[in-house]
Amino acid sequence: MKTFRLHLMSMTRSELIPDVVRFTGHDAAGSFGLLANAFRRVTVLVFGLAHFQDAAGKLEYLALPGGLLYFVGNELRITTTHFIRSSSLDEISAALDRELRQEEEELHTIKQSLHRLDEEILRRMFELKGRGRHE
Amino acid sequence: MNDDPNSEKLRTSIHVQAGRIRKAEKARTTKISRFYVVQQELFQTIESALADFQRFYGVPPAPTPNSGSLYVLIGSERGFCGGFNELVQRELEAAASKGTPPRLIVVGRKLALKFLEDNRMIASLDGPGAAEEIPFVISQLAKELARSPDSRWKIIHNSYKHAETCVETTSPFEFARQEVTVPFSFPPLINLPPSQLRPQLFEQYLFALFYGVFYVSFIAENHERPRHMDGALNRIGEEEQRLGLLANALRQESITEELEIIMLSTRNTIKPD
Repeated sequence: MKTFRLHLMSMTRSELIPDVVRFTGHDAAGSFGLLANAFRRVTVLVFGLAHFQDAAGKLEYLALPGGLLYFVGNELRITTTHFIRSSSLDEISAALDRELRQEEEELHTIKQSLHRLDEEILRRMFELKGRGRHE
Repeated sequence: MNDDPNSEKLRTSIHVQAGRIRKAEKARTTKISRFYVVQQELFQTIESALADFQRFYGVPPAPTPNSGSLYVLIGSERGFCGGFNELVQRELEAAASKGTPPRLIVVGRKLALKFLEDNRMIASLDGPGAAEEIPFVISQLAKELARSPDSRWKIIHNSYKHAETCVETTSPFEFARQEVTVPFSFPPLINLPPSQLRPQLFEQYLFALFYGVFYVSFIAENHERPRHMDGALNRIGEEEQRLGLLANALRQESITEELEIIMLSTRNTIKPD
């Protein structure tokens, strides 16, 4: 069975799937499919789900908020800001919820700790400056 | 002053805080540097795809010249980073010294403070305080740019190269108009008419470019902050040393004065027979 490489790239991670048999995605013109050794192609995927099947027959879904698709040299490159992969649609929805919640929590913690550190160092510096002036 | 236990405690505490900040900045730099490597790979893919498309379907028409130009200035959101914002400000003044005054969109609260009284600033946005905030800042900036009538704009931002913070001007529209050689004889397949696909491709290119610009600026900021903090701590140390010396000199002076008084009073008390 002929395969091609799928290279998924977001702004924070990159994943390579070496043995993809077929890929189905959507752009503004509608749905289209890609097989191994297809001709070079450029398009922009729309927000939604794409799916691909590997050499073992396993089907995976790919959720993405749009992105660029470039098929060249038997490699399918997809660039997007964020993507989620899963073999089940229910899992994709749960993973999306989980990731969003996790990101929000992380951001909250980071912001709090930054604020604390900045305030603390400023307070200490003023304190030292005040002491220097008195002595 | 050096012997004061409170001063010693304060000094230790400042160094502990500085250590914490240094550790936090290092963790942030490591994380964002990892993101930057991935973003560069992604950006190269977009550049190749755009070059391939433009080689066969043509470059976009030149933008209509308008009354002025627009600059996006990216500075820091937080303080303690030395001349980070001044670098951006100086680069702008050098670039905009001729012609019509440019319009400015300023990103980063600390940089925006420098333009409060400047009527060239049309909008200011909070910058990212953490890598995770970058996507939100980019979407806010995209909204501001969409509102602006300017058809071409440039970005002035800092980056970190060869262990130095340096300022750069990025002109996204110049790359978009370049004809790049690609190793293919036939055009790539496209599902949409070129006039419809071109703006979509360019949008992808711009978003990726913004991520790259914000990542490098954030890396530079996180390198600059510990360096600036170390400088401030050294200055405090030097000042402390100077005050210590001054205190010693004053103490010596007062001891000498006391001794002189004692000696004088002794001379007056012990009268020669």
